Amino acid sequence: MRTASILIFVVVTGTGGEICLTHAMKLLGEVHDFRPRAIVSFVLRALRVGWLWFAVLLMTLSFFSFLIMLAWFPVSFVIPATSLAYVAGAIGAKLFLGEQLNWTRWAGIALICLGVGMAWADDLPASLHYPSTIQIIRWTILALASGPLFYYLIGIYSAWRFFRVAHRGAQQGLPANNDAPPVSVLKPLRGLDPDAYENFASFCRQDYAQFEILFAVNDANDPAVPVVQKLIADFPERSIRLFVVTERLGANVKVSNLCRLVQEARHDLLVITDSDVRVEPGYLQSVAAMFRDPGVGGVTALYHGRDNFQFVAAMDCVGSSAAFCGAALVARELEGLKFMMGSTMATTKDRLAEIGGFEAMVDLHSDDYELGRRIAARGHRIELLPEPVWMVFPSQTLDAYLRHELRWAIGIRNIRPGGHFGMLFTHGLPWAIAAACIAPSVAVGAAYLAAYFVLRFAMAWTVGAWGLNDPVLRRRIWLLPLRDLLSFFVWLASFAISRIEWRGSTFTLEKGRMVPVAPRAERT
Amino acid sequence: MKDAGDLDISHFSSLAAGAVRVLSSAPIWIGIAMMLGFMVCHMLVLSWADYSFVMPFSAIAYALVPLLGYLFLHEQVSTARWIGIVLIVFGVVLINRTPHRTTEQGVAPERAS
Repeated sequence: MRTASILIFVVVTGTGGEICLTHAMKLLGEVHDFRPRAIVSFVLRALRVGWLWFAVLLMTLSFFSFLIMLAWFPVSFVIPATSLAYVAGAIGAKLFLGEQLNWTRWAGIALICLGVGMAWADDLPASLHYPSTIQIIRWTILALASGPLFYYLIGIYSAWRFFRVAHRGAQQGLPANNDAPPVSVLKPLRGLDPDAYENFASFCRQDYAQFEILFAVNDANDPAVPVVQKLIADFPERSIRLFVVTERLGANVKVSNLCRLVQEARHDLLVITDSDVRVEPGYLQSVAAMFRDPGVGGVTALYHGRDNFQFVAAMDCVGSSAAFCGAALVARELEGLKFMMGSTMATTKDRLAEIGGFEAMVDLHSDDYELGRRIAARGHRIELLPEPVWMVFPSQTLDAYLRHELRWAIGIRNIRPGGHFGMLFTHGLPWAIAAACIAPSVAVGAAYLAAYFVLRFAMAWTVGAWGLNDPVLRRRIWLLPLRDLLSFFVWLASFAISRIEWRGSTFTLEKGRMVPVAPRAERT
Repeated sequence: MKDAGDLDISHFSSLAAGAVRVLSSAPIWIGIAMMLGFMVCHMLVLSWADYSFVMPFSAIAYALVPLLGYLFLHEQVSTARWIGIVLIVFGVVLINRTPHRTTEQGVAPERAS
């Protein structure tokens, strides 16, 4: 067992280090100048990239464990065994660096592994020649089970990188900005969320010079209508308009509403938020400030939950801030944001026109994700607001929660099948349990479970408590393992189910488009 | 490392003693210096090629060591080892036929401060 643990450790840390190093080098850009001065300056520049230090840490760990391995075992075992790193490296490069490996490269890597094995395995002890199938399965599971642990480490690092800057900015406050552009706040509504009036009113209480708020509903009898009318009466100094949109352009009603709201908006800067979002008075100022950088094409926001301690709502909230916001921060760190979240979708009319407006998205299920993806694909940056917005999580039944999560997971699987499958390695709890079940000794099994709990809670705390300052997460963080387990089953189910129910109708998804499923022919 | 003997990691103190023993041998330091040189070259190469392209090339070393041993030190090389060397070389040739970079051009490093 000592053999397997140290081998896995050498390979995983070594490969992880190499991948971080490659990422750091790709950030620095290509170097073709080989004069000593240029190389020294390149190395100095490299030393300022955080990923390099992470790489050095991992590679040092790998190197010293490699030395230990050499002291324990003959070189004729160590070198063939560590050639596993070629496979791990290829998989890592594909998953984390987005490199495209064609079959020629895979074949080359396989040949090299085989070759290193043959060339160096001369005097392998007979017992090691043919490890039994069980042994191979056991090693594979133990190796893969460390994947989520690295994901949690990267999550902690990514959150630290983001919030360190964000918190510093929050302390300094924003410089006074006299040329703040006027803003149109767009809110498509359907039905009422808890505390809807307070949520809406938080937008009326913005500390911002010039802005308007536009609401849209589909039905003049929608319960949101009287609430918006009360708002208009209570804030006469604000420009607030309500539209009843009857035309339906596609399967996604929210996007139909947005098409109309964008037409009606008087200002260039558009800030779209879901109905359950509540903001602080400095929100619009902080959104507008992001757009002073001309490279920014869209702004989105993380969110934290307002105190609803109903069991399922709390679990939803804990999952959102610890897991979803964590994943968003990892994505931001690794490849830059290429999506937006419904908590805030801010962009300009020009950027929207470039991607064909909301009219091009009327059938899409994950409109927030797609809006960000399309703007990013045109070469604009998507940025995260330094401060999270408040989200009011409704009290709900477990069944409704699971359905909602499942609908969301099916949506993601449909748009990013590869990435969705890769989520396998963000599910730490099932891996830790699997590792504990097949572990050759109680100590190893316990170590995997302990590592899961420690790193999982460390990541949740860094993202949700330290970073987002989420009051629900602080008190209910212990719900996390339960939520992780449920979310694993939701993830599994998302591969088996392709029909989604949304607002009373059934759809299937084709490349992100909602295709209505005709109701079954009535029996006669 | 073989000179330093079998490492005993059962107690922290004996591990520390082992580390001191390892760190006080000169060949280790020569090795570390050469590895630093390797690291810089490695970084340069990684700045313009895929990791999955660069990594397999390092396997050439595993083919070169027995080959040089055969040529200069007249060591015996077994059939299995010859086959292994041929496989490694063939693998590297295959990889050399793939485009060396499949990700987008690097972006300038973001600087927080």
